[in-house]
Amino acid sequence: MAQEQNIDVQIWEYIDGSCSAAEKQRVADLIARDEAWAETYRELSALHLSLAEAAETEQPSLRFTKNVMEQVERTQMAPTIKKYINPIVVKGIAAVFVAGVITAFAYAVHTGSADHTQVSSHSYTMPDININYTVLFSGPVFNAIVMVNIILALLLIDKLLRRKKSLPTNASN
Amino acid sequence: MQEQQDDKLLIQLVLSGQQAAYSILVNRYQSYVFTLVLRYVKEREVAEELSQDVFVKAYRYLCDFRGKSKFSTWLYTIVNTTCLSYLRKGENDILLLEEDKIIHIADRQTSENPATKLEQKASNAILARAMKLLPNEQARILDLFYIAEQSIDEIGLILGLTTTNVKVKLYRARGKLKEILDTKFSAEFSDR
Repeated sequence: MAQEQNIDVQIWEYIDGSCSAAEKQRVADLIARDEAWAETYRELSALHLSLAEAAETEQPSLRFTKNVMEQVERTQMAPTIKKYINPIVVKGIAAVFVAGVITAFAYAVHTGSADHTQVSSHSYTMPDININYTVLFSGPVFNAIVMVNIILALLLIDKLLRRKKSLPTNASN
Repeated sequence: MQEQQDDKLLIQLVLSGQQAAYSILVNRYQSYVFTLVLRYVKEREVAEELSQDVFVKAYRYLCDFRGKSKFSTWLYTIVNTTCLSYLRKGENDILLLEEDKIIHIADRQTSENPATKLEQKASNAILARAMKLLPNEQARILDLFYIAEQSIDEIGLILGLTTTNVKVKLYRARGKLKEILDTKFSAEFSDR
């Protein structure tokens, strides 16, 4: 069963032309010399051709274009995003934020202390660095940053859930 | 490729203020858009309204079409989001392409051999009935691939899926269709 599925997958990729040239040649050789492959290719290519032939479009009403153009005449084209979102401004805000984080961290490290343990010829132990965390994790600025991050996380979760919900459910046969 | 260049030229004309050029784009893609929308909604009248809505939205945001993908790909993305927004309101059921419509359209095909025409009509009818039994998502993928003639990458852009995901879904859709044809329509379909 798995082998049959594997043959089907490879032949479909061959029919669609979505495989590499080497893979295409390999499959062509298999179709030429293996009856199972040839039979599967005949079945699948017949289905492919049937679908392509049956692929007809529906036609809307004769007034369709006229109706669209009437609405278009009343519609104003939205300005391109470039005109109202300046990437330089966005990058500037990001740079300020990153600089703020680095500055806060550097200040916290600077105001902390480090006890250097004596290094002997026989052993070495890591220095004990005390960072003043209260500077990093307190204050209104930090609270504001946390709030913004929470809101962004909620927006992201909402978007993911909406996308999941918008996926249509399968119709029952 | 030629059509893609024509689309870009028309878009430039529309953006430069020649609104009438947009009607050419509408004429070119109305049947594709309408057929795809019919995969989402039940009523032809509703499908027509949604299709018009799609073109109006496409016009409104035409400035944001960067030209990195085909115009049809971008347009079908708007079809997908517009229809899903409409369905989210829970106002309608999804109905697949009806058999008699397929036959009606098949009637318009020219064929020198009446027997071939009849055989093709019958085959299309069988496929239409089999397609009705497919899950909506699978039928939609087949429509985008065979009717809208979108590549796998383009279908991924439209539906927000990875290329691998599209390949898997396309493979499953075809497999399911083949299974339906083999189990329910084997006698009729094998006579072709």
